[in-house]
Amino acid sequence: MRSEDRLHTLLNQAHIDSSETTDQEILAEASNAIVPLKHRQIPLRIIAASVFITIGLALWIHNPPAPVVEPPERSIQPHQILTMASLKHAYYQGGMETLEKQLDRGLTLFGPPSPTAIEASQEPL
Amino acid sequence: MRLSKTSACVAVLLLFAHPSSTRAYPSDPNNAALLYYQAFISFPDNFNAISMPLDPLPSGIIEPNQAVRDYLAGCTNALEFTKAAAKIRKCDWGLRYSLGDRVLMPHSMLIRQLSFHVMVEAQVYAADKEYQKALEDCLVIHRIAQHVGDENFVSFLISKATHGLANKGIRQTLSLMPPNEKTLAWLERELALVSQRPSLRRALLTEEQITLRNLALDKDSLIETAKSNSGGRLDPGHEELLRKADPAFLQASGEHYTQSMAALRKALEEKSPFDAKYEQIKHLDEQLASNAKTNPRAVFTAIFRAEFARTYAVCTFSQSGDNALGAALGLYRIKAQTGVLPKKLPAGLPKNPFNGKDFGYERTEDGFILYVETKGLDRDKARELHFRVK
Repeated sequence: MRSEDRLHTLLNQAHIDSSETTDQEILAEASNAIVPLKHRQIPLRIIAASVFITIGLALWIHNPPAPVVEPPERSIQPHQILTMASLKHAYYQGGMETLEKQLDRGLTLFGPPSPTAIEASQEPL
Repeated sequence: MRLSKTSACVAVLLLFAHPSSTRAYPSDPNNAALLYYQAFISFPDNFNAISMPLDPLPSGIIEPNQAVRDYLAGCTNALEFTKAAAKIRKCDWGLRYSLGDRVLMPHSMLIRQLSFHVMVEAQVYAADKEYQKALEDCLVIHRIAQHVGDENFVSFLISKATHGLANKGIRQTLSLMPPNEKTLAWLERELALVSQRPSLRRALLTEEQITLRNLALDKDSLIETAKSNSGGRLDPGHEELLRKADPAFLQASGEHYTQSMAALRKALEEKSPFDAKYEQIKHLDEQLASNAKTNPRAVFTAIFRAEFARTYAVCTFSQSGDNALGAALGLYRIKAQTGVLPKKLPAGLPKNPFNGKDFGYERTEDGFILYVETKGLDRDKARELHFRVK
């Protein structure tokens, strides 16, 4: 850690231009750069839009849209998907693939508990 | 003499002192379904729903990692019950047909999973170079397909899917094993034994009886079943018609249905090329649907008709898979005998039932491809069957 004395020494050795005229010029330039908001030419419609967006955002945060409630899968009864009639209908709707999907869905809903599923790998042996 | 008297005394004692010992030793079940049901309840607690890729070749073989092996070890009892069931001829699933179309078929989803489990075991055997065991497992799946059977229309369809899975397993195993004439000859013989296919005719006749039974239901049940057949929605006009139907109208509806199904079955049994037969059946199918617009007695038929044209295409597709496998076995046997695959498909191999012609054939770097042209299916299933040759 540098000591305070060492810092003073370094500052004294540094080359610093110090001229009162230059300082005044810089200060004047900086003052001109700060323009009051009312003097800026911002279109009124942008201000209005910003206000609306802000209000809208505030309302949305306080009252977010209600989440879409999906019917629970368990509310489906076996007769809805595992009767002969509904299995036939699945086949008529989409052929063998739809029928097989319905059987798999039945297994998910009513089969033994299935914590994970083994996916057949697409990798060659 | 003294010994004989002693023996006689022992026998008498056994007979009278312990009457239970005279009962015959209890036998194993003579109904495969009972063993399949026991297999279902013997799955381990960490039962995994196994899903197979739809088109696993030329890669797509399950990786027999340690997790899969450990899991299969836990399924030993379920697999043993399944294999024991597959050896039994009789299979009665005990479905409650008195419920008509509302009969529950939960066994159908479980038998599908049992087949997948046997398939995964076959793939592990194949990866371990135990090809005979792998093929035997595939034949077990073929027997499961027979057991699923043709009791009714849905059973028939599930049987077809299971049959296709077994063929897929055989294709995969053949692609991994060195062609061995002895094994190939054995496989051909075994396939011939399991080729007693479920009968579409029988399935449709049962379907007809089940459907006609719906006419005897009370109105609410009839409408509920009609809705279930129509995916939960029934044309309001049709619902009104069924609700107001009197016995005479219901009888006339039943007669219309019976006549329509007889016409379709007749068309299905005609021996004509696929294209002509498919078009004829499709035309009849469409007529049944459109007749309901003008003829009230045709409404019941339109609601409960089976889609014959699609089913005919599905059956032909299944046959094409069998024939392609037969042709592939012929090619593997040539490779086993001569050391090389033929440049062209030799005469006498099974043909593509969709067009009555030879399958397309092409030799590849690591084997061959059979091209199967298909028609009338829900999506373009024209497929390339890749076979690797070691």
